[in-house]
Amino acid sequence: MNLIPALDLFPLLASVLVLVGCTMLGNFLVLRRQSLMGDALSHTVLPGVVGAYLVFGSRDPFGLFIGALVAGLLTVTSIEALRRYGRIESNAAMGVVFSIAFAVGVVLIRVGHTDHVDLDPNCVLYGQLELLVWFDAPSSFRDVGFTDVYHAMPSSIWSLLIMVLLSALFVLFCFKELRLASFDPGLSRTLGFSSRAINMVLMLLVSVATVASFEAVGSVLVIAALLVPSSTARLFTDRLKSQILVSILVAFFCAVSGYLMSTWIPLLWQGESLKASGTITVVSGIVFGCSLLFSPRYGYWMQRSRTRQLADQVAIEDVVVLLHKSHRTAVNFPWSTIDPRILALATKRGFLQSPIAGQYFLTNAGQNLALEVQGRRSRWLNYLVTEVGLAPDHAPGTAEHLEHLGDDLLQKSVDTMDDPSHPSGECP
Amino acid sequence: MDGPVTFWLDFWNILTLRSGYNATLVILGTSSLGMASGVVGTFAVLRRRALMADALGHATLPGVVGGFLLSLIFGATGPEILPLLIGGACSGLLGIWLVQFLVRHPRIREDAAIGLVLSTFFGLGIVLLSVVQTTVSTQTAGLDSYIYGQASTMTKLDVLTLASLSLLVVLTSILLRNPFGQVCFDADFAATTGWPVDRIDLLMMGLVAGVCVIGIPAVGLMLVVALLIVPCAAARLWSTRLIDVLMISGLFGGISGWFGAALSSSLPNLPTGPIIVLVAGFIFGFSLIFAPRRGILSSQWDSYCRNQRIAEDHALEHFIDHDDSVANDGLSALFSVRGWSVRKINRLMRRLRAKDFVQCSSSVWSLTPSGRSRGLTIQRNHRLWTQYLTSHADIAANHVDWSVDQVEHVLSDDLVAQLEDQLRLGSEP
Repeated sequence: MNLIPALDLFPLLASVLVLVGCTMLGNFLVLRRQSLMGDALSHTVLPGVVGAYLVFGSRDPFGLFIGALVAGLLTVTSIEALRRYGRIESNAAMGVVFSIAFAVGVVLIRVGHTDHVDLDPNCVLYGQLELLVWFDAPSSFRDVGFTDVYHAMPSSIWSLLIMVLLSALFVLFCFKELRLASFDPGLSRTLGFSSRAINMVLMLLVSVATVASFEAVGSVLVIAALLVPSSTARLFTDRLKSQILVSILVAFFCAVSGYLMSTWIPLLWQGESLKASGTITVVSGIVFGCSLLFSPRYGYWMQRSRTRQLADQVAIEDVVVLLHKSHRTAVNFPWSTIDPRILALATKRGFLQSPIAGQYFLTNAGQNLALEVQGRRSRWLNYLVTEVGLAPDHAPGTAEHLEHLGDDLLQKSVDTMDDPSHPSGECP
Repeated sequence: MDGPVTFWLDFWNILTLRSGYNATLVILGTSSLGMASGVVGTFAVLRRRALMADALGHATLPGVVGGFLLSLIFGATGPEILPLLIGGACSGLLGIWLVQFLVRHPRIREDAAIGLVLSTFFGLGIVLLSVVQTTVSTQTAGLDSYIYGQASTMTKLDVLTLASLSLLVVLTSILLRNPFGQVCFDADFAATTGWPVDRIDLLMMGLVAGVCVIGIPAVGLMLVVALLIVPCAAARLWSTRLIDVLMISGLFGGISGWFGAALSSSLPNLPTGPIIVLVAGFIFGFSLIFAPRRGILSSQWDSYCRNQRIAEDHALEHFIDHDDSVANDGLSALFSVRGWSVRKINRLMRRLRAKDFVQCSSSVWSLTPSGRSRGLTIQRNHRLWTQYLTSHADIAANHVDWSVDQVEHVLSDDLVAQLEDQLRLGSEP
């Protein structure tokens, strides 16, 4: 099915803006273990919007925006106050505040008879991406450049643009302060940046982002946009700058592909299009799941294969040492107790040779390896008894584990012990 | 004129279960649910899993909708309770398991894991919901009540199920409060003393999940977390003993269910679930302000009294330093270090005189014998602590004074005796 500019251009644009804008802020939420603040804020948008509608008596977007923003700030401050004055643990404080606020919102809707306005909780939860219709649009995407795009643009696109701009400016210009306050609030206070002020600004911007986004995409997608791309990026890199860049790319990808899915998947059973906010969330969940499995840095796949390699290495070293201890004769060696895969691997790596099937001998390389491992073991043993202070009869067990580690660790600590500039007893 | 009176009469009748079969059923159902969730929620909050319950609630949506779709395939004509509940329970438990699984990864913290699972599952639920709404023409309005709750349609069977399940949950929690409490407060210690921590944890989460799932038709999946958390948060303000907190929390939950259901059926057009949550919220707010010891009023009063006592101590100390007496116009000079206002000094002196620590004769203030002995005690504490900090805690002598000034008022008699012993021992060799 082809996309139609009138129906699809602005929803697509809106979802990209929401995901990219929220992701920039979300990186810091995830880093500061405040991810659930996004959850709390997205729930409290409802009472804010309904309250503003009841106060101003109209669906003026600016009024609703103000109402939701006030509700967001009230949430943040009351969670903080509950933690400080009520001595309530932060998770519980968050849960108490946002669930009560959501209940207030639902009740206000019923009491204020706002059912007839399109202000029902459903549209706050799921959003109405599909309603961002572009009237008098050209009939094909090729003509988009030739018409006046700014004419009759849906108003929420403007608020989204402003939101993205604000977040980008904040992250760009306060990057240093944000990084410092996120990683080491104590140091940032000592250096004279108030980490609480930065936290407050961050929370303010998260509320702005939530409020600007909920009308287009609903509060669920806001939570996903804040958390999923940035958590995905954390699986690929350790550096904050590259994490932010990766997360923006992921967000862009999720927004576009999720939106396309919402129109393409129903073609399977000739149905109507799905809720785009839902499909974008699901697609970002899938992207996260795939990264969790296959990321080259922290993926389960890589970690398992790395563990496997290490296990093989350890097993080979054990076999070689065992053989070396039995005087390189293989006559009475209990070959059947050893995993044949390890033996084959050791032969392939040149540590063993097998002139007769079922009989193995050490090669020169294998002999060297065995000597090296035994040397490492005795050095560790010595170190554990003399420096760490383990009892001599407890040390061999530990040394047996440590012998497989390269003893550069040991070497380093021995070096620092000899170095008079380091006081002994301190960890190197 | 007539409105409020009939409303209150109505409310009273419903509250005392004298207004019809339906209202009574709903009240009994919601209050037993509230009691069970209050008790079970205590363990969730103490285990610091308050928001896990939120993730659980949101994660039931795809299961509920999926169960509905499946039941349609097998020939149902509208939403039926059993397939929806089973589906919800399955996807909720899957969500909880995913959170536990994700937390073990070195780069994913608990908050992010909860948020990830919550949003992705809910998104999936929305997608399924839009599939249902666009493809199936049968009545789907009942599905909405799972999101926002619809207690007013409870049948006798529902209430009996709710009541018996609640009884089971409450009994289990009270009987097993010992192992549950141990795991909540210190899981490592519980493991060392031989409790099967994993199984206890599983049972605890299972109870939470069970209450969550049976509570969803009544209060909705967005608000079931409130029923679990809010009563316990309120109860913890009243007591610090586990058994008391369990009882109070169950009581608060039951009261919120009872009053909430009664309120919502005596006022037209009010949804039951949110009203129950609001009643619970009201109880929480009341406890936060008025609870003894931990409430805001009482803790502010405590710190006010403490500050006053400290100011009195300081004043007595200054008197001792100034040879026990000072002229009336010399008072502000005496306390100039403290930066107190004249009004504060006047009030302070009045209080000290009322306590018989100072006396005033011919515009000269002087210490009474009891004031003098109190002042000497404080001065002695001050010197002991100074001595301790400089000789044993390696703090430079010119840094000591400020921290001593804060600590001297709270030294207990035991501590003073201990300090004297230590200092004597330290000075001998």
